[in-house]
Amino acid sequence: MSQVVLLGTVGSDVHSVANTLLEKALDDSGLKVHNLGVAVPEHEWLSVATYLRPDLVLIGSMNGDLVPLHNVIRKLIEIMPAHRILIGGKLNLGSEGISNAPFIKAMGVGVLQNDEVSFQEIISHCRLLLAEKNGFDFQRIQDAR
Amino acid sequence: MVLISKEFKMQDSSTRYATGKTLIQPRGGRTTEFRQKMLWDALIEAGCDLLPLTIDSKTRLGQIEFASSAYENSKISGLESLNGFPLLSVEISSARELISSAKLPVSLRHGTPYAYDLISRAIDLGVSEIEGGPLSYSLPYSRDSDLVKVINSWKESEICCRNASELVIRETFGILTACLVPPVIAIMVNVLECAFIDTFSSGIPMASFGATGSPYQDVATIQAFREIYPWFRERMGLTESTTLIAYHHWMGPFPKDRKLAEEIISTGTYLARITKSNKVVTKTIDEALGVPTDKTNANGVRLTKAVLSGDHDALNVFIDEGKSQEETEVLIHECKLQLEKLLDKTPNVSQMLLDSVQSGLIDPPFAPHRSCIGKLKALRAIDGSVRVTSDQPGILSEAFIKYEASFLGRKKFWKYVSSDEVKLDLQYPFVSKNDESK
Repeated sequence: MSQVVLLGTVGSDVHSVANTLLEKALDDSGLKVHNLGVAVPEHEWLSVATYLRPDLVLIGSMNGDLVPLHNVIRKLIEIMPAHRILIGGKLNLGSEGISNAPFIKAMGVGVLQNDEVSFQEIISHCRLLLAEKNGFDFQRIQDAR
Repeated sequence: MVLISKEFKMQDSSTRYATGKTLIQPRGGRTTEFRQKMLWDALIEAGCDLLPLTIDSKTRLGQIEFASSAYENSKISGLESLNGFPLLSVEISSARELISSAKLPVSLRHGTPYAYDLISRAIDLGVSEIEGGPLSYSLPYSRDSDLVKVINSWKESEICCRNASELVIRETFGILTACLVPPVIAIMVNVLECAFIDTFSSGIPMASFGATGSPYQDVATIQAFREIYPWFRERMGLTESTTLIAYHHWMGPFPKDRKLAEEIISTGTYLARITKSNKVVTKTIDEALGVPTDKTNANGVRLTKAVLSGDHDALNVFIDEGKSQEETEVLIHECKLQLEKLLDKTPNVSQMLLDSVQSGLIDPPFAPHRSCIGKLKALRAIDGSVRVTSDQPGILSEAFIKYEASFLGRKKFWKYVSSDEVKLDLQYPFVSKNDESK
């Protein structure tokens, strides 16, 4: 069975550019993508993830709407390993530019700041995580880095 | 339902436009009245002409309970937990005090598909500039909104603006997704939404365009709109009216390099000036670092003011008049052709708004809305202009698609373009601009 990557944004986040391009990039690289799109309600994330049982989840977050993001992560962790959830985007809110990345990382999920990574890097990261699911020691590679 | 009160006199912003000056309008919304007032004070000190009231994304999508709770928490803790001002959560008397204390006209900027509640509240409070429209505030800002219901909500909103105690400036949001929006789409959205506003006589229509990164194309787009709209208004049987133009600084991704960011803002301001736009909507040089602070926002106003009043020759902006003229003619021809098709089907502007989306004509790149069929793809040409290609024949004329393809080279075959290349196209085209000036 081919491995499925679930993609989307949460809550009131309607930033669709990265979402559209990432879907195309993942698709072009041969990965099977299920794109929920943007502004996906918490209940939809949970119901689709429960039904599809994705191998990876990629969530974009650009507008600082962090409460629903936290909620979705918390619920997804109950049904899949936390490190197979990747969060990308601008994880700050407010004029002081405080980053929320450490809080999200503390939940055990991966964080990819999308200003700093190319689609190729995201795909490579996804491939490593998927390979790990098939017996590859991803953690060892990460630690070595 | 909020009743329209005529007791509170609006600050008449319409008279400000009579001077012919390009007015400066920053953006910005804070979580509490106190913080909003602080922002306004900073912007006034910097020399802006209009004050922003940008609404938070929770209120925009009708999640009022969440917005209210975040607002209350912010008032207690002093920490802002929303990305804009929650107008529907603030007590009316307090919101009224805020708006009536404003020393300049206030402009509502919100991105709400079902806009009636927000607009009626804003009009009631004395807000005199209202941004948005049925398509420009739904296609880029929502996924599942029902376009028929959205249009009905905007009809009620237009009536509300018409009943305001003084003339309202009704600005569209032709910038749409702000990423590679082809001029042909921007012009048609502006034409249809201005006609919608004129149909309801809700105020002075103001079409809005955003910097695409191609100076000659931006000049051509505004020029083309100025020629197309009076023609369309006449074809619709609408009475002659003044139509204003707003020009938005670049709304795509900003570079972290502050010098380059400053160049983007200065170029945008210069273009607002030479296109005789009535208003320039500003950005800041720290845009890449996150939500701007009051200080950086005020600095954006200062920079804009300096360019508007200073020596523009210091700027490296070159506009190829021949290319701009050709572009204007092509855009006028294609837009009139497509608008004629809409007019052939119905004389009703609301129906035209729906038809334009269903036929795939209004199909902004990257728009999240389910109704957008996604057959038009936009890419940046070598000369920095934004060009459109289509997976489906018949949406735009064959001659126009061929014209656009002549700028695109191999990129006209969208399927062979990688996501990283499109990501590059989304950046401000500094290199192309230099090429253009050679």
